[in-house]
Amino acid sequence: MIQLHQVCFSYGNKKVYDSFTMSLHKGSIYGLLGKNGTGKSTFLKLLAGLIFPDKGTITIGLFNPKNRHPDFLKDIYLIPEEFNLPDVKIDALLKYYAPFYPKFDKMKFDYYIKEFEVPIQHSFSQMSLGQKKKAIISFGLSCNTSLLLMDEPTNGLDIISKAQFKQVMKHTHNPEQCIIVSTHQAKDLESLITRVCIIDEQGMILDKNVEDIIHKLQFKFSQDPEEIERAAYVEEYMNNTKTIILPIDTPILDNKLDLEMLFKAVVTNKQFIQQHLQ
Amino acid sequence: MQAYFNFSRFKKLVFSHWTEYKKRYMLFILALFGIMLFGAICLLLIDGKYAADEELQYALFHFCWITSACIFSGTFLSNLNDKSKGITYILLPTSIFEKFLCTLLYTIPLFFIVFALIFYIIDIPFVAISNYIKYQDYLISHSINYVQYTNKFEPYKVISLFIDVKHQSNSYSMTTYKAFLQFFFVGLSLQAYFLMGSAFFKKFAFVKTILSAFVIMLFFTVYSFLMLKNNHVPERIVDNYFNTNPVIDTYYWICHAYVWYFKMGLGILFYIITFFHMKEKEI
Repeated sequence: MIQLHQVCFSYGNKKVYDSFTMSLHKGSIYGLLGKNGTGKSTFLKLLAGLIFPDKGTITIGLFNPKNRHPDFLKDIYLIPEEFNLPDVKIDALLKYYAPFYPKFDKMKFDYYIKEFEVPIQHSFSQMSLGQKKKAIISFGLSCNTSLLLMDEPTNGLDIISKAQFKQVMKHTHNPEQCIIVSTHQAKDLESLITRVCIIDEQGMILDKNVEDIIHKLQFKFSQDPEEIERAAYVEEYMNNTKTIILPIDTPILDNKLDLEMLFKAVVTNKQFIQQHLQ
Repeated sequence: MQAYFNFSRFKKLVFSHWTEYKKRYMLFILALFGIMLFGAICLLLIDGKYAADEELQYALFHFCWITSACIFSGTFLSNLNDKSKGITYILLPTSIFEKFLCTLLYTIPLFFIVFALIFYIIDIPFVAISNYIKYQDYLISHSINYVQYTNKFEPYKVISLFIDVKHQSNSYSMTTYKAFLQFFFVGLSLQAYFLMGSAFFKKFAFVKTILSAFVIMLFFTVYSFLMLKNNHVPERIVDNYFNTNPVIDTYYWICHAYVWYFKMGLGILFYIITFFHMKEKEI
């Protein structure tokens, strides 16, 4: 569905992507992780056609995002980290903006707004940042676009709202949709994503299904010196207990992905992790 | 064709734009009304009996329209330079051509109609009050010098924007069709320049647009002066349009075309540059 081929991109002299090639498919929720300045937001902007690659091609369905074709734009929605909503009430947003998106689902929107407890009688200028963010997330999810891009969606949300976000995202599974969520808050994504992508200065260093990861790596607490010795990644927890990532040959029940640990492991012990995930 | 223009999409864009900006536009209209009303009252207080002279009415119309239209256009595309607003604007599912047409619709015909309405709302009572003051003055003068003042009282008229093409006044009059068009097209070119400035400059777009206009004008003035001084172009080469004693006569149409390019062509050029800037804008 989405194909990036030999994409090069730089901000002035600072190279962000050099001959970057990748495919993304519909029916998946991608969790995009990376350190600051490694190009997570840039990746989303390239896909949305907000910035153009210096070299290489990006194809999304039949379109090149650079052309900003209306048929492409009506099938993509970006929830940026810094967003702008017109100073109108929710009903005006539905009346004047929803018609641009032919697959917009009003019932879904009502459900999300209710779930998020967004005050519908207020205009956006009267809402808090968190309420606005929840409104734009609800709108973005209800557009049912084939590609939904979210840049740090949980920034600005309180603890309850983050739980509501997780709850809402669980109901969004759509086999015709590809969702890419870029975030630093790895914990917020753990139970939602189906594929993990980790970017660093060299480009995409990990792009694997969550299923594959938990079949090959075990995330656990351990005090066993032998296990700790074999671990691909070890982190001090408390009272001689350590959190470890252990390579395994056979899948283990109740093995839950710890995204934050995986990220740290990939960044610090890239080759070892990549070898085990082959 | 659907990729460039679709009427239903364009209609949605026009309405969504109005929904988003109606508060700002209403405030702008109120401010414009207030300033023009204040100006009209000042004119009546300074010299009420001459305030509604037709030449002055036309001059005020052009001055106020050009100034307010430039201010309005000078901030219209500032969204493109704001990260969050720019993303929303670019990703709204319409073509760049439709976004550009919507910009033209709001800044040219809609603005002109709204401005003309405000102008007439103020101008009609303004002319009536000025005529009343003029008539009072006429009565006083007539009663004192009844022998000399036998001429009939002639009230000022509210100016019309639909000037008869055949209407002839002296060549420097503002009330002619030709003068009206001249000001109209110069106004459009200036508006186009300010619109372009709003799309190009990131911060203080309006001030930077004015400053850049001065720099460009200064450049052309110095360039023209140096060209003439160094005799690259012989003095008085041009025809009667500019010079009453030409060395070489050229056809009138050449000079008219030259003036037309400056009057209209520059505006069109600015609009084309703005369109391509919108198209290639990265955020």
